[in-house]
Amino acid sequence: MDETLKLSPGAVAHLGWLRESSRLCLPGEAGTGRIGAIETPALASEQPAGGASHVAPALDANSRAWLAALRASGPDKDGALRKLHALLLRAARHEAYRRRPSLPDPVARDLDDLALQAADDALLSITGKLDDFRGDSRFTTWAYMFAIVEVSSKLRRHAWRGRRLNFDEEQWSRLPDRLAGPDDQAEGRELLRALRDAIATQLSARQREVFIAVALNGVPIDVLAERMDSTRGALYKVLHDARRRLRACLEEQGLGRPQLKETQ
Amino acid sequence: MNVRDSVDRALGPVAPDAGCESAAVNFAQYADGAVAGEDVSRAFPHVANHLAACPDCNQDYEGLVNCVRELAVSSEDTPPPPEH
Repeated sequence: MDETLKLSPGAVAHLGWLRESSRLCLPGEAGTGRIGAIETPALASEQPAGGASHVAPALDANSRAWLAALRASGPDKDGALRKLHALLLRAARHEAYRRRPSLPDPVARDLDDLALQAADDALLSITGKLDDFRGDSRFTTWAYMFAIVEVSSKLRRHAWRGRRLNFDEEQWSRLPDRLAGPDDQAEGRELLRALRDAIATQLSARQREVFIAVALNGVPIDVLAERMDSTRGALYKVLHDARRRLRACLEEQGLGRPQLKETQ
Repeated sequence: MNVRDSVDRALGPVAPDAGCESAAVNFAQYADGAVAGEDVSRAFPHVANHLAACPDCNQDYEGLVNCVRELAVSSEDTPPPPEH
């Protein structure tokens, strides 16, 4: 991201809205690694993520009914909350069991508990953010998103609990051995050596840690964010900047790939 | 996967990127559009680019789309009628 980037008035207004509306984590939970509070403007900050200015559409009838029920009081609201929780729990369980084959046994045994926790947390988030619902999707899709983000984050962290994240120099100094197969030609090995050297010389210590963990070792950003007391968004920006620096370094050596140029 | 592919994958796509928070704001609309068969990557190129670059967001988005597709309209999709 270009720190000196000039934002259009529309982009500034959009980012201001984002700052207020996109905090998906629970109150007091910023920094836990879920999609959290925005520390920086969006990476592609010349325009909103959709590429077009937002015009609030008319709500569909079902979404209107959900909003009305959740904004009611007394038994009507209680009933809506119970039904919303059931919907969130269904979504969380669905996602948890969809990912079951890729999860280690201890996590797979806890899916129902994790799904219930996710539904509870998602319900709390949604009830605090009803005014953020823009109506450009179905309400149920918007609500599902909270359940998915919650259960997904819990599954990742549970799966990586107790596992050591290794940032040792060895991890990247052996890059050619790790990524190159026996049939790779000399040019492939040259590319890997150049990447290894760029990691060593072009990145800050934090960029190096994040790049190695996420891009080379497959550590989920949520997990890394929890260990580093950061957020997914903040660490993604570190990764984004590291990747850009490495690509530039390789291009300078004639080892870049044919590609579209970044617009910023 | 050869070396070039491995390196390209590690370095991610080169494209304007929405970032996690900005992309997440559009996930629900993006998912509804995708399930409806719309060309969402054209309508939301920065979100599409981010999904290609961020493994966590991509996994969440896949889960959301799957959820929308698989959990078809049921009685739970509608709020209870008012009691009075």
